[in-house]
Amino acid sequence: MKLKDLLLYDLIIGLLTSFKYLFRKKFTVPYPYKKLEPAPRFRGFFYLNPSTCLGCNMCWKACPIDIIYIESHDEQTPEGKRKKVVDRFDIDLQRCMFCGLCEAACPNGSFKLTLKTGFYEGAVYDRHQLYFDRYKLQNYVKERKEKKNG
Amino acid sequence: MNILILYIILPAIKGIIILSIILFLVAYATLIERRVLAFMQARLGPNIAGPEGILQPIADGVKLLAKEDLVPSSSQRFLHFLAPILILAPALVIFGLVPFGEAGNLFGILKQPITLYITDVNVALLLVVGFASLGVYGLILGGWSSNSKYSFIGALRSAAQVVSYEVPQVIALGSILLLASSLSLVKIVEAQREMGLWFIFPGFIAFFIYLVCGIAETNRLPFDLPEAESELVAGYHTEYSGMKFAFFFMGEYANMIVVSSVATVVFLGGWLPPFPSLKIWQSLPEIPIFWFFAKVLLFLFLYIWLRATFPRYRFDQLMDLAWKWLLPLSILNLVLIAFIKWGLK
Repeated sequence: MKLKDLLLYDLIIGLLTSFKYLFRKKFTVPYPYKKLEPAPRFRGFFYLNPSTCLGCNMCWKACPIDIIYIESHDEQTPEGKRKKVVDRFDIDLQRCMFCGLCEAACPNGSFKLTLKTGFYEGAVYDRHQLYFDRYKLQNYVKERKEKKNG
Repeated sequence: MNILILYIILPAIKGIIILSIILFLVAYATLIERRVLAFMQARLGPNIAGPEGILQPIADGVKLLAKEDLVPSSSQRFLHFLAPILILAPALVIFGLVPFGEAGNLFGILKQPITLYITDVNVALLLVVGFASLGVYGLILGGWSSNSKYSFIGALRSAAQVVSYEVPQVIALGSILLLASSLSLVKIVEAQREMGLWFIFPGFIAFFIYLVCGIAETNRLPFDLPEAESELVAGYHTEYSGMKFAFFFMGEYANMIVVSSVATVVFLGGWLPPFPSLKIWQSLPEIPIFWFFAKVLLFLFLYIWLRATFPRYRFDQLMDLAWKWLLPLSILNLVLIAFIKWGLK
């Protein structure tokens, strides 16, 4: 038996360590009052401006569980070119797993379909509210954020 | 008439006041424990009910009162009911013997000075030790009457633990009796005033032994084997719910305060300031129970601190510590103190 053991050296070091933590910064975030900013690549709720959508169906093809529904028809522009016009662009978020493959597939440059809105408080009272149509895709996140900020 | 006031009405009033202070302290000890423990683990703890969670004990109390009182169908109903009372009552009785302060007239409110304790029994320390070990009956009965394996194992462990730790504890207190030459708690404090030194200085080993045994006897970490959450669900109070559970809980905290109070009186000079013979203390204004409660709160903090730091002992280690280390050490300390006493004479 060493002198160190007899004088309870290890126990005292342990006590000092826990005493130091008494004054350390706390890691707990009191959630509803204080929120952490999500990381830049965090996959939150969707945003899409449907008027800029090309209607190329790439996201529809990329979706592994087929929850994107797109319907479109062709129109003639005044210059005589053919242009696709999107009639329906729905995402059924009830089943979405936020894999982000649709975002990766979207070829639309800066008007992409995106999940990087940083919005994650999407709880609703009725699950059917999570069926997002074109209007909701454009406005939902913005409205909810404004509502939360008062 | 005078006797009626002196021996019945005054002690009754004191009793009510002390009881309410102790129960208030018990309630808030739970909050302090949860918050300090949380801070030591880099968490926040309960801080929603009221500013900094100050109303949490009330919320807990209301919740426990409103809960359904479940009794296992094959339990001994009477004993199951009796056990929580048996654990809380002796702990509260002890506060009738603890001196909180010396005689004073409370900032001049009263005409005659009154003593700040209910009674000064000449065998007070013996009674304290006796009542403190009575509480264990509640624990064992609770474990046995629940008719559940977890409770039963918890109760058996508690019985073994108390038998082991009571011995060195009493021997450690005995060594202090050599110094004080009295069993009365008031006289023990007075002896420390005469000596000009708290008894922790000559009797540091005794203090250490008393501390370890006190923690073991109140079943607190690192000696909380009777309720060991990770093995026994909740040990002896597994089958208790609602207000009966709250009684067990309050009993545990009241016992903590008892151990802290006795340690304060016996080793840390009760209501005396540090180094009571110093001249500084005469110039400072005297607050009657300040020093006593400061020391008790320090002890309660130590309890929580130990809980936040150490893991639980294994059962054989627990027995090892009591019989192989603390018992020889306490006897050695008794001899040592006897020599000190002889030298002082």
